[in-house]
Formats: sequence, structure tokens, C-alpha cells
Amino acid sequence: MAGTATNFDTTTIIVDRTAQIWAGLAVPGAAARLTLDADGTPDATANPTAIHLGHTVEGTTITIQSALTKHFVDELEAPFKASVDATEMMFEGRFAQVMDEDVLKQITAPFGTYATSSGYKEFSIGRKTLTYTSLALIFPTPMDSTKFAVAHIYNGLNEAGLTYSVSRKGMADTPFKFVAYGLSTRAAGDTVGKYWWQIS
Amino acid sequence: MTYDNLVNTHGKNAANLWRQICKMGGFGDVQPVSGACLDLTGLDSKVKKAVEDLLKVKGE
Repeated sequence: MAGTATNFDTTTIIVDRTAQIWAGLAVPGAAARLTLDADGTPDATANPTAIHLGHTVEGTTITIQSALTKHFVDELEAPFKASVDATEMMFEGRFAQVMDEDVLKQITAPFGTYATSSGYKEFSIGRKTLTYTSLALIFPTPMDSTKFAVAHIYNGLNEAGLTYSVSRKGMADTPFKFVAYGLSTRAAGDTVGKYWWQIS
Repeated sequence: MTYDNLVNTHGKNAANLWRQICKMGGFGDVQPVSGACLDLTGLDSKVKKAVEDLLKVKGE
């Protein structure tokens, strides 16, 4: 008889970490990952269109989940099998930089068209061709602050719209909910995104 | 590589080339639209070479 090893490891608990949310990233090829610089930002050569989306009010929530259908038969009280209806990956939070056109381009992607000329910047609102963006949340790992963890949505779109209030006392912010859409012709286990971290 | 650059270098053939590169590199059906970008860095060297050759042949 022998005991079994426990798994208490405080170095794997994430506290006191600031994350960066990026859009406009390059989609990695099969079996590859987002190319990072040593400072944890997207490598500028591999990701020439990357855009940092700035401050958030309370950080970003990552959700990766499957919706399951449980299958029952009359003779058993418990489900005997499950099938996966959908797999979702999303980033949610609130952006603080509500007058930043780069942030607004991502927030308004389903309905806003940006233009600028002498004396103005604008978003016209209406129907447009949907364009998706590749997004990632990047933060230093709790194990080693020189290594980085990445949650990467290959093909995402904001579903939260644009909504904020302007007031004397309050700070304006607008919600975001970037939801992943699958890239159907990628490998079946890698159509939505990737969650990974660097190790030594 | 960005789709915008591909349009600049290959004109009307850009969308077709983009789809071929997506298939060769296992990128999936990334839309050939302005702002789209593929990271060739992590590709297998043979695939990367094939992509480079494809771009050379159809570059003019």
C-alpha cells in the first residue's frame, strides 16, 4: 500500500497579473502558435496588423466551453452518453478607451464602418460585410513572469455592441464579448482557437 | 503575410492564391479580406518553401 501524490502547487495560481488583449493578429498554420516577441507582445513581423485594444475596466474573462446533449433511455436514470452540440470560446470584459478608433473598429465590426478625413473621424452605422478578427489575451505566467500564456481566438467577432454612458462622475466604458467562429477547414481539434503557455 | 500585401503584389489572383496558401498551411478558411493575416513562421520548412515558390511563380 502507498499513498498517491497530491497536486498542491501555488505557482500555478494566477494572481497579480495584467493581461493584454490584441486583435488583428495573424492566424497560425497547422500545429503552430501565435508568434510572440520576448516581451510577450505579438511579434511585429509575423503580426503586422496586430492592434492592442488598451485598458479594460476589470480585466478580461476567458470562457471555453462545450454545450452537451445528454442521452437517456427509459431503463436508466442517468444519461448513458453525451454528444457535443457546440464548442465556444469567448473573451468578455469592458473596454475603457471608448474614444479610441482602433478599439471601436473591433467593437463595431458587425455594423460600423470607419472613415476619417480632415477634421473628423466617424463610424457610419448600418449593414456591412462581416469581417472577423484574430484575437488573443496574453499575460505573464504565474510560474515565470518572463514566459507568457496565450488564449487565442482564430476568428472572432464582437457580439456586445457599443454601449456606454457619459456622466460627470462616472467613467465611460463599453462591454465586449468576442465570440469565436470556427475555421472549418483547419484540423478538427483546432478550428476554434488555442490556449497555451511558454515553458523553459 | 497580409491579404492586403497579396493584393498589391498579385492583383486579381490574390484571393485564389490566398485560398491555396490557406489550404497548404492548414490555416483554415480565413476570409480573403482587407486586414486578414497569416503567420507563416511556424510552418513546416517544406510547406513554407512551397508557399514561397507559389508566390514567385504567380508573382507577375
